[in-house]
Amino acid sequence: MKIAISSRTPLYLGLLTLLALVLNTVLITSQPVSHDDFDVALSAINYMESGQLGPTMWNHPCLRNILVYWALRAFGSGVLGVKGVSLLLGTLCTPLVGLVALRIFRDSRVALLAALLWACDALVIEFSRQGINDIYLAFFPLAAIYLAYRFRESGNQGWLLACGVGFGLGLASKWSGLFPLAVTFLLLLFAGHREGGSAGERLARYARLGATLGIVPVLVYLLTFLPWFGRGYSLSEWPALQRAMFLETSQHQGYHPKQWNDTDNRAYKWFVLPSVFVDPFMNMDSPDGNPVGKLPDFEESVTVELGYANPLVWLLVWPALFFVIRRGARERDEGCCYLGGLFLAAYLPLVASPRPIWMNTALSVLPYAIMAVAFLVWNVAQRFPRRQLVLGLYLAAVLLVASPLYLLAIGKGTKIPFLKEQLVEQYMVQFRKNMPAKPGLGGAPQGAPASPRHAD
Amino acid sequence: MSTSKLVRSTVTCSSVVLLAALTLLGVDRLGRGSRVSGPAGTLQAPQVAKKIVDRPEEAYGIWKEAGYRGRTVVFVSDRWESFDPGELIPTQMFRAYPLQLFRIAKLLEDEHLDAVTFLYVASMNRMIRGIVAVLPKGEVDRLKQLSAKSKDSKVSDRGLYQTRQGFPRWFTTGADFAGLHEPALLYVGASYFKSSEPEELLAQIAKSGLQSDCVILCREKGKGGVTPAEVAKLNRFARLLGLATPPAGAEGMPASQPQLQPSTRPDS
Repeated sequence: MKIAISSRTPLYLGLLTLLALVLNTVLITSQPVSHDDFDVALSAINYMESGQLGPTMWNHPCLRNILVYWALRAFGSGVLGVKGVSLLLGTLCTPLVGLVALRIFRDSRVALLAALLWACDALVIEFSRQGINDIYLAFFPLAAIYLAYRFRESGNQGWLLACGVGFGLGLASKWSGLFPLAVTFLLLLFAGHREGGSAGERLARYARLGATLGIVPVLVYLLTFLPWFGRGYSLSEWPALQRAMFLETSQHQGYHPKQWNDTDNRAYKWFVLPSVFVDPFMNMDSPDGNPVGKLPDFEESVTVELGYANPLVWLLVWPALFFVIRRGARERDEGCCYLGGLFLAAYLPLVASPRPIWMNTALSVLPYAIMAVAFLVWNVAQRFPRRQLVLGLYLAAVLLVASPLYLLAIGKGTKIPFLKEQLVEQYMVQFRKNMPAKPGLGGAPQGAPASPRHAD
Repeated sequence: MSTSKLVRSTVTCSSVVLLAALTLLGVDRLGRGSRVSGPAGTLQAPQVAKKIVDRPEEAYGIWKEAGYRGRTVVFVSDRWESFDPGELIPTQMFRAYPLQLFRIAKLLEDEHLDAVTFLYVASMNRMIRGIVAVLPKGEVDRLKQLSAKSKDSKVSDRGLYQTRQGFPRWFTTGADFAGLHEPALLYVGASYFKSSEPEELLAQIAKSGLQSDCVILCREKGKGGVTPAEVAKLNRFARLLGLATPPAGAEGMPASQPQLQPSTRPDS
């Protein structure tokens, strides 16, 4: 399997990566630090130095703790230490989306379009700028899929091993990494089957695939628990921990009661209705500086980050998926079938889940959704006589909508009166209404609104 | 597929399987090897370190000083006092860069170590990795009822298994206590003797086959409901273990007790 890449594609992908880097880093030092960001740093120290999971998101695997801890050690407790890993992985997702789309569709224009749509997505930007690990759910499976394609292109087993490691790191981020792993395993199994050969040769191929995509990811996952084993636990005690993590994850209702109307927590809505990830928090260090001796009032101390789905992209997902699957079935197009499988395997379990699934989890599905949309948009545009104009108009509309969504995603929505009034104010009102006490009025500096946690 | 490819596939496959086996063994060894314990034996064995303390948090100090790591503690008392660990960690409302981060385990030890939290603090500081609580039947029944709200608990005739953020805890009665497959740190609070006699507890522990390297007997001063009668029974229990008991209120450490010198060794 060989892919022809035009000479300019790497250049354009590089420029799009640069765009992603800019979007992910602009004003980040003035973006107030959220509770999650702080707790992520605390949890990293707690895990690496005490071997304890938690205090936040203890039920998820531990890779984030390891990466954030080393980032803190390398860069200190500033922006790079706390958010550097997410910034890096979030930015690198852009070229990866392009490179994977290129392999799937064998068309560099679709690949570049997908990378652009990804780079401008508000949810992607919001989570590339946060310490929590949701952006890992996109990065590691994408990296592994890219490595799987490199293996298919070259036959070099090193790529396959690296692919297994990539999926292992995906699993060690969140268990949703299992779904793209399963689909990629099937793809490679199918490809191996088509290669033919004697029974012995086939058996060797299957065994190699089982070892690299079955055993290696599990080993990588296991190794991320080394700090926990350092507490004295033996291997026989590990399944009980996994069980506890699974039981919490499968019944999870949130770590704290939400202080706003929490409606967008069902996965089926994401690509059918305009959806938003709501993340309001307080930080008494106001972004504009906090004069000594004066505590900021509510307006100054609250930040509302909103990850709005761009409707011009997200609402095209189902038609795009239909288009991709139909193309795959009619033309026996392996790439389209694979993409359809990736999307459905990643998304349907979330739709079927009885527990709330918040939109941050959409990042495990979004790469495949956006690739499908790019494919649809490109093919629809080709049907018009002035296809470049049509495509240009569509992209202009997408970017026009993405601009205010960008400000909302980075928590600057309150600075723009129109956005504040139309989109942010409702959450501020609910947030303030549910505050037990007005912050800034007395109390110790660490006096926090009581946040009921898991009772022992 | 050429012969060389076939060979490479076979080598890759074998290498991964071998690597997997080595990893599993290595990880298991790392875990077991991280445990630190002292010379163990039955409770009356002379090599077992035994101390009487006034307050539960003193047990923490003894375990820390001895350097115990990765152990299972058998906690014998009249009740399991719950608290919300989340309340102990302040929600930072000021979070300017660079973040003022801290180690939770150290914070808990410095600021929140008390009679209720000492086991939790010990778990956070890697001293213990599991708790077996031996409680009166009424208390175990109460915990069983409460466990209905828990996401990870198993109730059986012999007791209750319940985790907190993956940390394993077993709750059982003296009669149902089945011992452990490894030497434990034993803590016995005077309050337990409200509903049990020292001889009965010793017989139950002996029957379970429990081995220990450190036994802490605690008068549980300041704990509601602990009367001189329970302290007297605790002293009787101490004498059964071969400890000379000092007058109530004074710290006791028999002169004949071996010094705690834990050695690192894998427990079976």
